[in-house]
Amino acid sequence: MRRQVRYWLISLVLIASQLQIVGLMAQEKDTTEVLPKPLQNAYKTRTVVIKNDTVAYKHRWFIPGQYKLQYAGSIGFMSIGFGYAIGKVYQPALFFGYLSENFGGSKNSVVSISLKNSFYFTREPLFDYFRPYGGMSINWGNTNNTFKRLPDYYPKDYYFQNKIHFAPFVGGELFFDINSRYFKGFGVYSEISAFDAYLLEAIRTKYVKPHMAMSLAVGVTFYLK
Amino acid sequence: MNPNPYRLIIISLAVALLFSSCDEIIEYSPYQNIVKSKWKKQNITQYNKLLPVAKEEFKPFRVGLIADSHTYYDEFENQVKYINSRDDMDFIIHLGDITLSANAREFDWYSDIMNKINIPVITIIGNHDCLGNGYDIYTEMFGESNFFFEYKDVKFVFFDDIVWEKKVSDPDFEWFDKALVNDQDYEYVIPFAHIPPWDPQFTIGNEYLYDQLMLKHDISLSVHGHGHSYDYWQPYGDVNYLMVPAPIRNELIILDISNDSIEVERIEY
Repeated sequence: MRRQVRYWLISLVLIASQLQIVGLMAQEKDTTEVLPKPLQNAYKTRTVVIKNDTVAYKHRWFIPGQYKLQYAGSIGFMSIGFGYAIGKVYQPALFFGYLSENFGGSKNSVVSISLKNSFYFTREPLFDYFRPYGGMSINWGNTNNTFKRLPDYYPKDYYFQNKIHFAPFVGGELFFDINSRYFKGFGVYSEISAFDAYLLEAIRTKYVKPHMAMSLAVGVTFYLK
Repeated sequence: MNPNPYRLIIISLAVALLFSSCDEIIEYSPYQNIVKSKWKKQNITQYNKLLPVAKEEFKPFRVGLIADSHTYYDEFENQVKYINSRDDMDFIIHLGDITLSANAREFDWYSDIMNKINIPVITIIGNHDCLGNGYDIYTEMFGESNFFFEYKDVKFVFFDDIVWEKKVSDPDFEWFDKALVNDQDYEYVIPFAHIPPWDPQFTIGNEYLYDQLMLKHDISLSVHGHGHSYDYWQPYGDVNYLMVPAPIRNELIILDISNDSIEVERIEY
């Protein structure tokens, strides 16, 4: 398992450094080039007249601006995420994660959907590259015997629901400009989250130390133009 | 100010490798069923530690009973310390509910503390351990949930009587009936199950059947957890039912198995 993790990390960083070289070369070129046709059409600003007001809006605003691929982090062996930059600070992403016997080594498969609410601590990257962030994700896990409402045969409040969990997290992303045809840049991120049930035990008991509640995730983000 | 991006990459790689070198921090899901190889099928490895003494002829011995450790980790550690301070028990039986929500790390934390006990520990399944993927994690980590073994001419029968969480209508009484048969002139046959028969998980029929099986096989003592507090009573007449307390009670129960009787000792520490 450890070897598998190393392999993933090393290949991730290798891909990242390759892209960086491409990015540096691209930076030297003229940066005033316009968006490619498909994106121009997708993002074309449209106007609508309501009574006497003309409202301009971004067409197809629902197309995510960020595409993420994440390893581990308690929401699956691998997960893909779609993110939106609602502001410079608040940038939520919806992740779909999967874990199974041949995709992470778990005897039972788990499907996770996670809404990761990220708040960036700085408006611009520190030292041009680093962007620290934190927030709270809401994780919905689906596997055997998880429930939101208890089946009828249980006495009232016999168990607390075990399908939805909260996980606060902090992380940092190294951001690189690539200025390619479709992508303006990419980021390599790493974050530490704490699953609510574990966090509670870390607070409540002496045996469970804070680091025992933590879960590491690493991933890449591609930023669409 | 523009530091070399490659230096940042190398630093982040180093940090990531540092983290990856400790397994605990990588978790794919709290519902994952990934059991470390050192903790696979522990009931079997723990029983193997009892060999070859287990095959010897009957001689009086003592067995420690614990139960419902859930997430009372500090209290459980105290209990482990107390158990290790004594040397009069041959092994320990944990009567189930080793987790609160059957999350992956709760099983690991239990195994971590339990393995600090100097003598072998046999762990049976509890209702909380069947939430999520808990049942599958339990069978991977400890072995079959219905099992029995012999120790010094006494037959220990461990019965998985979880109903609601396993989404079954009845426990496997057919297996239990066969397992309780005294087929080799054992000195005693002692059943252990997490849930006592008077619990709401048992229908009236199952409750009656459980006690009838005790009478049929001439069993005088049935041992349970689930209630978190000590009890020793005869709700249906002849058969004694023992309830083992949770670690929060600061009590240890010892079965003193001798030639003519099985005595229950309740020790406050």
